[in-house]
Amino acid sequence: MKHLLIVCIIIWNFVGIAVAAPDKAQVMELLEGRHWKLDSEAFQSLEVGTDSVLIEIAGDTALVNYLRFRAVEALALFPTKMTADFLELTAEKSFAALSRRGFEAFKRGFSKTDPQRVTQLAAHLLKHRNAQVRISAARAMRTLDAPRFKSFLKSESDSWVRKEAQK
Amino acid sequence: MKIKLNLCHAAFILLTASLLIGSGCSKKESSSSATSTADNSTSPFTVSEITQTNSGDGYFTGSFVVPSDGISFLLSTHKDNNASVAFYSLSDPDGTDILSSSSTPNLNGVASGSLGGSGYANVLVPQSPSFSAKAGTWTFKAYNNDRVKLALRSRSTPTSTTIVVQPYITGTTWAAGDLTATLSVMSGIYSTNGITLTINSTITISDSQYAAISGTFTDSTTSALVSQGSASAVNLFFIEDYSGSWSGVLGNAAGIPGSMGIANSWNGVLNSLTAHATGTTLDSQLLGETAAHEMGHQLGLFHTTGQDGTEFDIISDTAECPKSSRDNDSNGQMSAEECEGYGAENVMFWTAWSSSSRSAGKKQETLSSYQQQVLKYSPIAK
Repeated sequence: MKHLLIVCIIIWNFVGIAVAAPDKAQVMELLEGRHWKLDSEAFQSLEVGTDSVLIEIAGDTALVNYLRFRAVEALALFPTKMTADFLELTAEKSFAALSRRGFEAFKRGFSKTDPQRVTQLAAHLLKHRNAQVRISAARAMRTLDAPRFKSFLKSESDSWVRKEAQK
Repeated sequence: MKIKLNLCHAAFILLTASLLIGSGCSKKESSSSATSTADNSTSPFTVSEITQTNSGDGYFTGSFVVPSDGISFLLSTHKDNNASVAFYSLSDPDGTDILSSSSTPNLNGVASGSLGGSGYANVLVPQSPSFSAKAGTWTFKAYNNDRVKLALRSRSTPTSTTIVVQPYITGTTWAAGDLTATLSVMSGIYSTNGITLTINSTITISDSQYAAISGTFTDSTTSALVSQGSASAVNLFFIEDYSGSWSGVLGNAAGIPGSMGIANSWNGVLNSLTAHATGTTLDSQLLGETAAHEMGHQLGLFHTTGQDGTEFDIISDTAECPKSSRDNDSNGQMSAEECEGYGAENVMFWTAWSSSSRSAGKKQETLSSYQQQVLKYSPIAK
């Protein structure tokens, strides 16, 4: 009887999660538009579980990139541990365009609550082979750790990267 | 005529800023007049700088003549330090100020030349069939600027229309050959709507700093790229990616319209390649539609229906999809699916069909008769 009760509670919890999470199509609609800008209010008005749906979209390699990019950007609005882990992994392991967006979302979502973790990731990405990722990391580092930013400017070989990093 | 009334507040701020800037700089008496042609000396398309006079009240005035065979013009005001510029008035030969809200019709709060812009603003005539480039002397009053230029098209009335397009590609992930299908889609869209595109060979720009750029046309890197555009074509820059806060955008134009006939920072549109790819495979249909859409903006077309279903273009024969009756899910955003039959099929609808609708074969390839007319009368068209 006790085991049956536990099973029931587990099932009830799963059903609860399924009901609470927004419909994927509902989230996808908010990611559409040619000149898209993040509508914080619209995303935050969705049900609990939006972060899971966004992570699913962001990680779906069969989807066209603009939807994945926007899902990553929207994740900054949901600064949970799950989001932090996903964005950190995205910044470290994805292709350059997604990596940069993963880092930028991570920075926006966690700079205030976990600046050390953001600084650590930025320091790692300063050595990225893609110039745009380095620029993004350097721009973040400028406010997070000024001496390290100056050191980057000294070591960066591409003059245009140094210029962009200081914009 | 449908007017974007909600832009008036922004217009007020920009115009006030311009006025303040203008009042602080009253040394300029006039600028030299020069005429050049974007094509050759017999071209029906000419670009000239208008001599201006300081009227003593913080404004600069000038005039120009539209000949009896005039078809269209783009009047632009420029400020090299990218400070705000705008026109206070633009009066036709009958004395009607088409930038005044009390005139009918008018472009008040619609044209960037009325709203104001950073470093560049313009007025296109005709931007809808409600306007015409009337023959005779037009006069303008402008806020402080470095120069005012006129791109004027004259001679034959448009019957068959050709627009020259110059594509460029940046980055290393894709090459010029990867754009063939995309350019074919775009050409097909315009051809279906009565406009022939002459698409020049794609120029590869290999400098690595242009691979990913900002969508802000006053950004120094973006400006350096777009300024490379041809003065006699509509320039399409297929950039590998956007940078910074533009990361979620598919494409953007330098204005509605952008610059025509002048090699400057506003002389082209940007289309992101990476955003249109799945893996490294480009969605040629979607990218072709985006390029056609951005080119429409560059030539003066607005979104037929805006994102929230409360803003519509100034063209009277385009379908509208109002929030009040079509926002079925009440999320305040008009999806293409909600607007099927209400303008979602139009090239200039604010958003593309969703990925599932696109997979089912939905396309955005139509322009209304009046939208086509704006393009056919464009100063850059032939």
